[in-house]
Amino acid sequence: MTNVRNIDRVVIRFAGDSGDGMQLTGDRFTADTAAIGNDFSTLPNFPAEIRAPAGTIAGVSSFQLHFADFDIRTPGDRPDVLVAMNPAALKANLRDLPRGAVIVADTHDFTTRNLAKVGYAANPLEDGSLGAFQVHALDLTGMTVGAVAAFGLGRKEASRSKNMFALGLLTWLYSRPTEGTEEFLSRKFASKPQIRDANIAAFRAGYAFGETTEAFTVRYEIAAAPMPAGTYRQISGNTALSYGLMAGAAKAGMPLYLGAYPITPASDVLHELSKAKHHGVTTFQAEDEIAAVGAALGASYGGALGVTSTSGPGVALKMETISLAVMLELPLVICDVQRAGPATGMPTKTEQADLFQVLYGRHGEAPVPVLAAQSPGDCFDIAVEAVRIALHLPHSGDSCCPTATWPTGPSRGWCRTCRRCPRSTPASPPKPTARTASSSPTCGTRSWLGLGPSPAPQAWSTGSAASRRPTRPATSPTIRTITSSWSSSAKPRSTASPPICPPWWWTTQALSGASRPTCSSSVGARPTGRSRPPCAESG
Amino acid sequence: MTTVNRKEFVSDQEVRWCPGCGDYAVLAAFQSLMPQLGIKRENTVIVSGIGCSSRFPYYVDSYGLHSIHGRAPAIATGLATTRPDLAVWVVTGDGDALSIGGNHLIHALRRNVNITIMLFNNRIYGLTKGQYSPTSEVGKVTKSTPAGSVDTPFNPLSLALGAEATFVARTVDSNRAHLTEVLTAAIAHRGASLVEIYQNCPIFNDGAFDDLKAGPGLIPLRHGEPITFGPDQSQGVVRSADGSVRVVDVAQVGLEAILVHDAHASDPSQAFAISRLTDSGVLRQAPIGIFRNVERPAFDDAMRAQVSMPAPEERLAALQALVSGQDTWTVA
Ligand code: SF4
Repeated sequence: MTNVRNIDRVVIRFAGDSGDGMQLTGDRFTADTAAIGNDFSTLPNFPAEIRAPAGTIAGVSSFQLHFADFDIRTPGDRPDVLVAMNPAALKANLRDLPRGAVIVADTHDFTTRNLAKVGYAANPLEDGSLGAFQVHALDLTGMTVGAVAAFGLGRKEASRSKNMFALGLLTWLYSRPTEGTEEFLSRKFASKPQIRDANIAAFRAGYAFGETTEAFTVRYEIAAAPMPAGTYRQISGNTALSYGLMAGAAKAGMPLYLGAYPITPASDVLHELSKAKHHGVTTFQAEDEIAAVGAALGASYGGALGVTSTSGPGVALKMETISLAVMLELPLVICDVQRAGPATGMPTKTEQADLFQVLYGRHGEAPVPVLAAQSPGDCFDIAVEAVRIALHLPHSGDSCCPTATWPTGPSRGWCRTCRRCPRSTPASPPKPTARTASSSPTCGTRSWLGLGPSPAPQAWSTGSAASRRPTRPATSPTIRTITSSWSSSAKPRSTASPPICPPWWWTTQALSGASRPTCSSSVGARPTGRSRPPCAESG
Repeated sequence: MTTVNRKEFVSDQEVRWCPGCGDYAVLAAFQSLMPQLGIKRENTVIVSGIGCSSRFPYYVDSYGLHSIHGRAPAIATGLATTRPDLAVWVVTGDGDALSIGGNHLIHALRRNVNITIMLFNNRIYGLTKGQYSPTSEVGKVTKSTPAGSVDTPFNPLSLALGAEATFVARTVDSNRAHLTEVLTAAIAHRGASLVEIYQNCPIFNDGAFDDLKAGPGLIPLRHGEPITFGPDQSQGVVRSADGSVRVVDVAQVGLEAILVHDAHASDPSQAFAISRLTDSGVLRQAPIGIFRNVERPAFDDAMRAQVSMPAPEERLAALQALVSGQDTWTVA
């Protein structure tokens, strides 16, 4: 007899070989969790190797999901449940588990050879070394093969559905609905009925196994979290960022031009925007990071909204052009999707360590407002806000925040804003303060909506003749770095946090909804017209 | 119709090149040429990098950007893609284009971006006061190479041809008519045009091109004509068995044996072979004119063809559909 126990939160990590389909398993579990109404946050963790040797620690891919009946902000540190599809997955993740954690291991892959591959002298599932955990050693692969025997697949092909068996088991254990996954599988494998049926059968078998076996004495339920009303979707930070950039450009009535060089983890912005050519988006895969930002700046000069997306190493290379953009007072949005570590660092791992680079990375006085997104969903709002500031900011040299104008050379005397001598380096760096639109005395020198597509290029001062040229209205300087975290598959943020910049009139009302997470209220319902946004009043 | 004269392209900035600098001649030719071509200055943008020649946009009363060392082709790529209505010029030098900006140059050429590149080659770093450049001859003694440089120079046109350039030409600052003719063809070409301009730097590399007067000299290339040069056209170019070309006395081989220049040949091999007639050391011999001029779809035209912009009133609705996606769930 299985007891049902109500709990308020749980962290599950699915781990297996790169080819075991752990990301898909995690995605599906997340979707079913969303359907129940739990709040959640996820952390996919890919191996850096494109095709790591099977069964090795380097090849372990995992997907962690934290879900709860209350508002949560992180994917969690210590998994309560680890699903390990092979010895490598167990070994790679064991040290993260708290005492008493549940381990579901697929015994099929715990062969002498696989154990030896990762340095296990004895089978940890049998030698008592996992005494601190609740271990469920199950032949998931064997049971899967048995469950799909009717579909006439080869043994290898049949065993590939083992991730769905594991998903079915976990779906039962945490009382998730099954319809979503079954529908998903029907759609995904519509053209391959054999594979579709095998996967659905494995999924159902996993669920049924949970229900019938005596191995699990408790089953858990996690109630829905109180969420603001609205329509929700899953979204990754990179996708939200891309949509936000498009929304910003659309609101400005400008074409969007992305210059980018492939770099993990920012390439998805390039991919996403490359799919949006019919939305007036031009994407340019440049020969290098410098060309990427250069082309974006050139496009801005021509009247488009220039954007470049990259990661920390790319930002380092772009700095000179960013300085130039400040100097030319042209709009530019730079997206830094952060990775971990110095130099090339770790492309598939994340860190939030680029702040100093983006705040202080330029030479001379080239202040750049910096915005940071707080969640994947927030990347949308941050991108729109970045576009707004980029197009709207009055001359940057006047009243910028202390951090941005902190003189960097010893020959400079005093920072005129904070009046501290740069020679006596402050104990802690100046506090990063984002410049707010409300602090700008001349916010709105040009109408945000007044920019038509393809205006004539802005005159660059080469003397008095500039006045005779067909210029567009005096442009404002404009440069903006977005520091967004790379995280996937999380909902739009559910609580309004103190905004880094003042809330913007239409972002909050229309696109993301006053009650944050809804993405569905119509963009078209925004205030229209060529009126100036009331940003001057917001301060 | 209002006549546009040279003055319209003259800015109010004082020209600050050294007296006698070859850049003056190119500027003057450019300022006369543009009105002749009927290109309006408001449709003209000059993007430059860093170096003596990169001061060019200051002196032309048009749109212009004095950008960053080596990056002008990248910036011009973004601009040209965004604005088909503009004549986008890139002004660069041997250091700017071939050293720090080598990557951008070759990629702009292979993409065939609709820009016209004027590469001022003075075989020296002038603005930084006299270091050897990627086109300086081996053994060049400069401040940074007191014992003589040891690295082999680029042949800019061989490089461009190797980079799949569709328009490759060379001219000299001292021949106004030739300069004008080549630049006219360059701007008429749809796609990337590279024009190397031999430009004398009287301060740091004076007389770099003087040996051309003494030696075999300049070899003018004219499409459809046999390649002959020298006093009484006594010298000519023939093809060797190995595919390269060499200089011979016309009298010895007869005019029929002389190679006829074909700038429109789709294969760049012959243009490349001709570009190799350029001396890499002391410059005594160099072909000038249009080496290659072929049609290939321009990058920016192809890019624009892929992009479409919804009508303003539909744009946000289309975006909303994208943002909403297909898999949503509702919390009441
Ligand atoms: S240094 Fe040479 S190239 Fe530069 S302006 Fe003077 S003469 Fe001209």
